[in-house]
Formats: sequence, structure tokens, C-alpha cells
Amino acid sequence: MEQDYLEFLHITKRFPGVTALDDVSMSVRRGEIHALVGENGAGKSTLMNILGGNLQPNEGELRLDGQPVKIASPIDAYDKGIGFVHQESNLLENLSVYENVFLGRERVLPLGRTDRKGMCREILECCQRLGYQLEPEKPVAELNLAERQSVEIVRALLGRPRILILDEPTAALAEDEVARLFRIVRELRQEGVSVLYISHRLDEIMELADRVTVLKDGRLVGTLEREELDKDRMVSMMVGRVIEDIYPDRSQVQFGQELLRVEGLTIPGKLEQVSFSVRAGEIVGLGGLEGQGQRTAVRAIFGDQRFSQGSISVEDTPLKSGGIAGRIRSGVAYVTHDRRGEGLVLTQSIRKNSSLAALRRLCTPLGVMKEGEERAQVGKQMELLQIKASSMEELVSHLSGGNQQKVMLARWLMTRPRVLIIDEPTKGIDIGARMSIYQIIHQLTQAGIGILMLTSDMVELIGLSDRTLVFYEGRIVKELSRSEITEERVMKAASGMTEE
Amino acid sequence: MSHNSLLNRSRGAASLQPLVLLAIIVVMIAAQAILVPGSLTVEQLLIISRQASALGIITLGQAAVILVGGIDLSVGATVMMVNIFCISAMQGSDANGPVGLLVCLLIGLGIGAVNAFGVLFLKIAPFVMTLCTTTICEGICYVYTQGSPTGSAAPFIRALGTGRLFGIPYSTLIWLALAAAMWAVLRFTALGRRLYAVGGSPRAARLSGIANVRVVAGAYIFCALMSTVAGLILTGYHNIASLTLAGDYSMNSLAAALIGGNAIEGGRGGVWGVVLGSFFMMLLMAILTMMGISQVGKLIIQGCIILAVVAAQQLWKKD
Repeated sequence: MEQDYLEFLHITKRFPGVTALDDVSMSVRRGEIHALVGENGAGKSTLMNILGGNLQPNEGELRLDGQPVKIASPIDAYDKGIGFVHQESNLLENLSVYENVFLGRERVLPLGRTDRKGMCREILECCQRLGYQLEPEKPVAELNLAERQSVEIVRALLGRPRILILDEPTAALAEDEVARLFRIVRELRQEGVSVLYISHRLDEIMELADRVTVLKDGRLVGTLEREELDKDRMVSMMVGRVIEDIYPDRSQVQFGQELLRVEGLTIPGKLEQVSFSVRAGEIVGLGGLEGQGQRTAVRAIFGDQRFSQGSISVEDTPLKSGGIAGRIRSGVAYVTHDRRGEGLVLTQSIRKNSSLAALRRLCTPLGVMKEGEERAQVGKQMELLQIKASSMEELVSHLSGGNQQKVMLARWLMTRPRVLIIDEPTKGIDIGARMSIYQIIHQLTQAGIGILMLTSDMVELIGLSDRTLVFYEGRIVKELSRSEITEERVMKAASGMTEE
Repeated sequence: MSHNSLLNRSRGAASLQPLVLLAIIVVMIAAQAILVPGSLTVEQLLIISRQASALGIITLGQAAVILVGGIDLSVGATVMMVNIFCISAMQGSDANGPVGLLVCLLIGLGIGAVNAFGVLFLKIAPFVMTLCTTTICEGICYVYTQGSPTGSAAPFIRALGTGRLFGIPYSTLIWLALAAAMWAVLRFTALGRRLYAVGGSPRAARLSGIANVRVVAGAYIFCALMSTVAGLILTGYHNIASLTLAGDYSMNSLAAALIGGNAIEGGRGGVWGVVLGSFFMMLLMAILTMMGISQVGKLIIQGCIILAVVAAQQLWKKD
């Protein structure tokens, strides 16, 4: 039982502009539940993707049962007995359950026919053992999140894995579903399967894990044995610094008049009676689990999403139609969470990306660009935001994540916004750039801008927000001031629990 | 530091592409002088430029569509329709000129608008949509002429196709003037910025407050209008209504735009590369003709040489 079955030795993985894993070594025993914890961006998923064959390390090696192995692809991982249940469903929606489960390894009868009955039977047997109720012939599109996850678990288990990776498996599950999952995980341990368990929920880890490995900023902090497990200890290892260190001190900030007012915002099935306001100089954080309506709400405010009821006003002027361009003119700006997909024009320079939302301000009535003024303004923003680049003509695709995010901020600051919406301000950027972005946001509020921030990073939400609104199923279920906020209260509200 | 030099090289490659093409053209002209002694004159180059002007003007339009991430296969059909209806409306007389021009303008606007509508509102793939427009326009031309078009162009249209100013063909001048205008728009105006942004990342452009629909529709309509101008020039030059005159303009304009360094996925490219690309295509045809190579042989050699140029550019880019 005490034998190391899987070993990671000196794993380093670099992406352009960021080192995701830096010399990480850890080992997993046969038949143990080994939890992997750390903040967002600590490198947990990267490490698991290396084990799952999705990524290749730049340096270091993996050993299985003492033998060095190279895992070339997800199929290779599956064949080597590594099952991976992803955080986000990896299923093909228009195929049925059994087609997904057996994708790429269909059971075949003579004459090349697929053995539909045999495959369905295998799935049903597995479901029975696990306590799932799945119809193998049902299209995945008709399943809810929990059912989709059970499909993934069935797929992983049918490969008779020696190692099972579960990446945030409980994020979409209700309480009884969580209990069932825990039972399954414990049974697997009995059978000698090594379970790698990634989670943000420390209570779960205390309950389930045999050992815990903590990662931070791509480095190994340490591995705790069962008897050493302690929540506070894990938190301090994960954060590694006192919160005040990386977040600006906002105790002295004064708020001004109300800038943004949202009243009764309703989109059937997505948002229900959402009302709140943002004052000048204030940072309002929107928290909650993924997909509870926070993003829909800010997209509606930004004119990207129609709403059936409610009103939005900026500085007491109601925003009517006019779409995104109209919102920009009214002083609303939106920094997207998907920097590369819908933020930057990757084929273009810093200069052209920065001025994209402010073209109207930077051209004559006939539409001729005032390039001198453009250069001056972009130069000013680059200096203010400390964008590191050889010149403003450098392509944004060559910048690091942090500098790309600053170019996004530059674009929106050039529109001279009153209200700045920032969706995931520091997603995928290293710690240095994060601190500098927090500082920038702090300075913007001192200049009287109101900030509306969406983040899935709990520590960021708590560290930065003056006021936090927690979303659950399209409604704001909790409002917490800076003095009231704790991780636990946010988590409770986010999972629909009411406080006693 | 090695990272930096890499940046500079990849940035340089894009702007170098037209220069590489220019060098290839110079080499080809030198080869012509050696292969067919005495054939290289200023007059001959002017004639090639006149022959290239129709393709060149169409390619400007095609380049605008490619820039916003689309493709327009209906440029040849637009030329055909303009040719047939221009001659039919003018009946060889200048007096009918305004009516004829109005008809051509409506044809251009109509085809561009239909393409834009299909692509933007019906969400049909540009390739399919413009292919449908092509088939419909060709069908209309066949039905209208019953397969045997007749008539000739009005004198002023003839002058447009064959006349010269200070020895330079009008059509060459129109081509270069349009190219210069398009270059100025792309280089100096907010509209130019929007075109590149929409082509580079439609979602980013939209979230920056750009009306993508207007920009893309504008590109298709501009392309159809360029084809209309080319159709008038060709009508004037050939002075006949013909169902075959439009030839392979759709494919050749695509080839010329891509040879000129415009990226098929949109968002990248310029005007002068496209101008050189069109000239290159016509020069190649002219040299092969001078060398007495048969029509079929010309097509094979043309295909091979275009392949070589594009492959060379790809290798250069990856270097």
C-alpha cells in the first residue's frame, strides 16, 4: 500500500509568456486518494493534462511503477490505465451516451458492424455498480451537467484505470450526488485505484483525501500526510502570503455619486429581477459559481444581450437601444474574460488594438485617423499601465498574458469610461502582472471610475471588492460588504444555502 | 533577445511579400527580354497593364471581401451581366449612356447587396452564397440573350476601354487611381481600421462597438461595384456582348489576391501586393503567348508557376 505507483519528476511546462509548472515533483501511491489543491492558475490542471496526455512537459519525466513513461496522447493515457474526468464536459453533444463512452474504441462485430447492444449493456452494468441511471441511447445534448459527468466517469472506468483523475468533480453536483461520488471514489480506492482529486472545496478534501499536495504559482509547496491535514494550514500554503500583500489597501477610498444603476433586470430563464448599483470609486464584485447569470447580467449592461424587463442607467441617464456602440458612448466599457477569442485582434499591433474601441474619438469627421494623437494617447496608456513591449507597433500575439490584458485595459481606458466592467481581470496571468493589474484598478477608482468585476477567483473577489454580490440561479442572493465577507459566506450563498 | 529578433522577422515577412513579388516580376521581364529578344518595350508593358486592369480592379474588390474574412465567386458573373445589359441598354449610342450606366450601377449594387444579405442575415457560407448568385446571374444572361447576345458598346464606353491619356491607357489609370484610393482608405481612415479588425477577429470588433454587418456588407457591395467598373472597361475594349467574356475572373481574382499576400482567413493584406499580383498573372499569360505556347499548355504552365510562387511565399513566411 505504501509503494509509489506514479511519480512526477522535475516537471516543467512553459507556455508563451508564463511558466505554468516549474520543477514540480510529486508521487502517488497505489490505492490512495491524493488531492491536489492550489489557487486558480497554480498549475493543477496543467499537471493533470500532462498526465492525461493532453500536454507534453518541457522538462522532467513521469514514472509508472518505477518505469519512465511518455504519454503521447489522451488515447495513449487511456491505454496505459489513466482515466480523466474533465472539469468541463468533453462530450460530443449530438452523439448518444454510448457513442460518447466508446468514442474511438467502438466494440465491433464481424463485418464491421458496431456492437450497439454490447456497448449499451456494458454501460448499464457499470451504471448499476455505481448507482447511476443513464439511458445509453439518449443524446448527450438532453443530459444535465451531473448526468454528463456520470457519462465521463463511466467512460473513464470502462477503461479499467489504475489512475483516475477527477478535476473539480463536484462543481456541478447537488449534495446527494456528491455523496454518491464520494462512495464511488472510496470503492475505487479499495480496488487499488489511485485517485487524483482536484478541488477548491477544502471541506471535501478534509473528508476524502489520504494525502494533499499543494501547488502555488506553478511550484510545489509541499505534500501533507493524512494526519497533518488542516484547513488553515492548506490555505496558508495555497496563498503563501497574507492577502493584504497583493491587494491594494482600500480602507481609505471614498465613494462618489451613483454611476451605474440596474433595476429589475430580467431575462426569462437566465436572470430574474437583478438590481444593484455602482458608485464612483467603488469596486463591486460579482461572485458565484460559473453560469449563475453574472456574465449574462454584465453582457446585458454592455448592450450585448437583450433583456425583456428592467432598466439600466448611467449617471441617471437611462440606456436605451444603440447596442454596444451606444453603451461605449454612454461611458460603459467591458473587458472580456476571453482575451484571445473575443478581446484582441491577434494579427494586429498594440497601437491598433488599443485604439479599436475609441476610433470615433481619434478620427476627423470625415473618418481620417488622427495618427499623431493616436500615438500620443496609446503611448500615454502604455506608460501608465506599464505595458512592456519593444514599441507600440509590436504584435499583441507576441506579448505575455499580463501585457495582453493591459492592452485590453488600454483599449477601454481610451474610451474614457465612467463604468468599467472587468470580466476575470487576471485570468491566466502570472502573479507579478496580477499585482500590477490590481494596482491599476485601484488607481482607476481613485480617479472616479466605477468598477464592476466578475471573477471566479474567490481570493481575488474577497481581496478586491468593496461590495460583493453573489449570484445563484440568475438572482442576487447575497450582498456582502468588505467587513462582512468571508470565503465561507460567499460559498454558502453561491451554492444556494441560506444563512441561519 | 532571440525572441525579439523573431518578432521583427515575422513582422517583416508580411510587408516583404509585395517586394518579393515585385522581384519575381522583374525577373520575369528580364526572362522575357532574353527568351523573346526585342519584345520588351514600354509599349508592350503598357498593353499588359491595360489587359491586367480589368482583373486588377476586380481583385481590389475581391481583396476587400477577403480582408473581412469572406470570398466572392460572383465577380465573373457580375462582369458578364454588366457587359450584356450595358450593351443592351446603350444600343451603341452615347445618348443612352446615362441609362446604361444607371443599369450597370443597379446591377452592381444589387449583386453586392444580395451577397451581403445571404452571408450576413441568412448566414450562408460566402463560398456557397456567391456561387448561387453566379448561377442565377448567368442564367438571367442566357435567358435574356437567348444564348446569342448582339450589339456593340456606346462610343464613350469604347473610349473608356481603348483610349489613352498621354499614352497611358485610361483603364490602367482608372485601375491605379482606384488602387490608390483604396490604399488611402485602408491606411489612413477609421473605416480601414474597422475592415482589418472585423477580418482579424469579428468578435473582438463587435465587442469594440464596430457594426460588423455594415462593414462586411460594404465590402461585398464595393467588390460588386469594382466588378461593374471592370465590366464596363472590358465591354469598351472588346466592343461586343458576349457570354464568355467574363472568363475566369472569379478564380483569377482570388489567385491574384492571394499571390499579392492577402490571407484567405482575413484580417491581413494590402493593396499594392494585390496590384502586383494582378499584373503578375497577366504578364505570365503574355509571356507564354509570346513564346508560342498553346492555350492548353499555357494553363498548365500558369498553374504550375502560381503554385510555385504561393509555395515559395509560404516557405518564406515560415522561415
